[in-house]
Amino acid sequence: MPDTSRTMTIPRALLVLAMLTGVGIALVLLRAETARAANRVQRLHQEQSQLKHRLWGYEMELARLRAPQRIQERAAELGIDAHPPAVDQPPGPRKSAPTGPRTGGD
Amino acid sequence: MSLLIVALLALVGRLVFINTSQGAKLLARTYEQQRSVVPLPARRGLIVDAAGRIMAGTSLQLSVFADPKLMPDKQEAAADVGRILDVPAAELGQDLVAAGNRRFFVVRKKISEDQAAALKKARVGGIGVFEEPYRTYPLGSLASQVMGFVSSDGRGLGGIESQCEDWLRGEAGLKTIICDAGRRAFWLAEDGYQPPRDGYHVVLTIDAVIQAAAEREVQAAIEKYHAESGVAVVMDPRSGAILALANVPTFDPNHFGDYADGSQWRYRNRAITDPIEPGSTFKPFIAAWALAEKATRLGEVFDCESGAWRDGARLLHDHHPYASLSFEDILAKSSNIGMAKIGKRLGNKKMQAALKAFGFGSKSGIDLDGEAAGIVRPPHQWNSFSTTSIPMGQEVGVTPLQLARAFCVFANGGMLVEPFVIRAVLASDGGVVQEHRPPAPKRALSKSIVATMKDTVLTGVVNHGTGTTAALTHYQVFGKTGTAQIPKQGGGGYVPDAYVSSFIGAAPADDPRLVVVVCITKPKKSIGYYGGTVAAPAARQILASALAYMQVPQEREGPTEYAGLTGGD
Repeated sequence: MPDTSRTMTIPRALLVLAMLTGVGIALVLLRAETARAANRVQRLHQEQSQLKHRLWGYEMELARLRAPQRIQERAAELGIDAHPPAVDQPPGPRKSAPTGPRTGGD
Repeated sequence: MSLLIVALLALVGRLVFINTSQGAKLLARTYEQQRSVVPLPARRGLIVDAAGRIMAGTSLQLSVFADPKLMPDKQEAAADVGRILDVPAAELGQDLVAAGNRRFFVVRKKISEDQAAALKKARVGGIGVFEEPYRTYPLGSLASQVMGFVSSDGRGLGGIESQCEDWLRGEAGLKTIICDAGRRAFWLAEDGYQPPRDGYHVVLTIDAVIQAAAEREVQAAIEKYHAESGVAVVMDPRSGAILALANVPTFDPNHFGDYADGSQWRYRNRAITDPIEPGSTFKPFIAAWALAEKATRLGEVFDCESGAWRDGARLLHDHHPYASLSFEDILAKSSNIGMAKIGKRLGNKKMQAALKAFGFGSKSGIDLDGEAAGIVRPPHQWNSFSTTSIPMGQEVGVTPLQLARAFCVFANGGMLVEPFVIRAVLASDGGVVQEHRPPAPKRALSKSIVATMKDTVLTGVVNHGTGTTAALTHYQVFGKTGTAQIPKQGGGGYVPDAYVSSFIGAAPADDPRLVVVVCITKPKKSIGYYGGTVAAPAARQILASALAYMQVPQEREGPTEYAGLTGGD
């Protein structure tokens, strides 16, 4: 009678080898995917950081544009009088306040 | 087949052996080679004004660093870099040689994006570009003494930057990067990321528009009267909030190192640090106390000795001679003789109580460092000269802030409030970390005395007295002028022809919203030096600008006096 036990072990070994190889490949693929995802996270972090820094710059630029002195200078360029006149009309009499000479001294 | 199995078993065995015997050592070596810890700087908190305008913030600048140890040829590197940065190569070469073998040396700060791109493209060995935070003040020199500034290593120096350092600084974070063989960031290690906590934001009570108006008018007065310096304080009399603290000359915190010419005194917030003899601006406080103590009454007439009065060893003069004046006209005309007589009626003990009630001689409690308590001599050092000097505002030293705070009593129904500048501290997500909670104000005067002083005496100063140049068309201003001589350092009299010209006032009289103090130091006497000439017009302009900006309802009709920007920006 031929020896079937020895004939049967070779396909079984090949099957085990193929399974192990499959598992190994799957692990490698999974690791590669993880690395790709982690790399993408890193790039997104970097992009977020760059956008945040750009936002800081815009905030400062906006603050400069909103400066009261700058607005006044711009108003002056456009011919708008942005602050009270230097010489005002004297106020009218209020209640019973008597008028008198301006002395300025004290 | 058995050989194959043996080989596989041998391999697995070898793997297990390496893992158990050398695993830890190899892992550590991997970490060292592949991992890089990168600090993540926290953004320093913003300082914003009452309307949310950014007064101090942080930006990033691109800077160039060198690692001289990695440079094959320093002169060649200097030539390449110098060409891109438009800097003499010889100068750069000297810097690189002086750096020796340092691993990190900053070559140039604040380069443009184009220059950074050119450097990256040039791939000069040992040269790199990095981003570093720097503090910027977009409103320039506005309120610079209040703000302070930040040193090159990021620490606050002076002002809010210094005293709020713990809030503003934040906490740096870090990230651990897994690098490839070329030291390029490959991915972020999960276990190695700690986000930075950005600094908290400080919200001030200062309003940039009102601050700008105050600085502008003080600067104009200084230029017109060739004065040495000036300060202005604008305050909300009801809450104690400081809306402006102007000190001129000022400085630009973006270039704080540019003042090595001996003028570093401009860094000081002189409105709170430098006491002055207040002169006649002190008279309302003593006069009001005399009314409250019934030492005099409204309408009582005093003999003003036609402008010259000998009281014992002392000869007192008025600026203008008057035979007699009523109580209210003593303030309106600012008679020294009249006030001296009121002081004698009151007596030293009651005057000491008056000074204490108005907060003179002690710090106001404002939340700014460096405040001076002023100079009020202890009671046992007062003498008969004090009795007639103090009512005229001599023999005492008060800061402009103390004057403003005390005058708030006349503007808010008699309460002594505590001034403050920091309204709140906010986290970066807007949550409130700390909010100002004012202490309960103390009553200094009764409502009836305050009403009499405000509506009769102090409005009289502006309507027909020495302060008419402070009058506004649409609002009733009430206040007091002052022209004080400057004492010599170390005592022994006064500096000739040196004065502090002042005005303290508030408006509108029906419902006071603002108190303003303006003090101009050493105006040129030949051009003008009275408080009513130099300081009162500046105070008037500040009040006009601020009341219009705040859209305070006008008290009376009249020609439009303010046709311009009224609010918002």
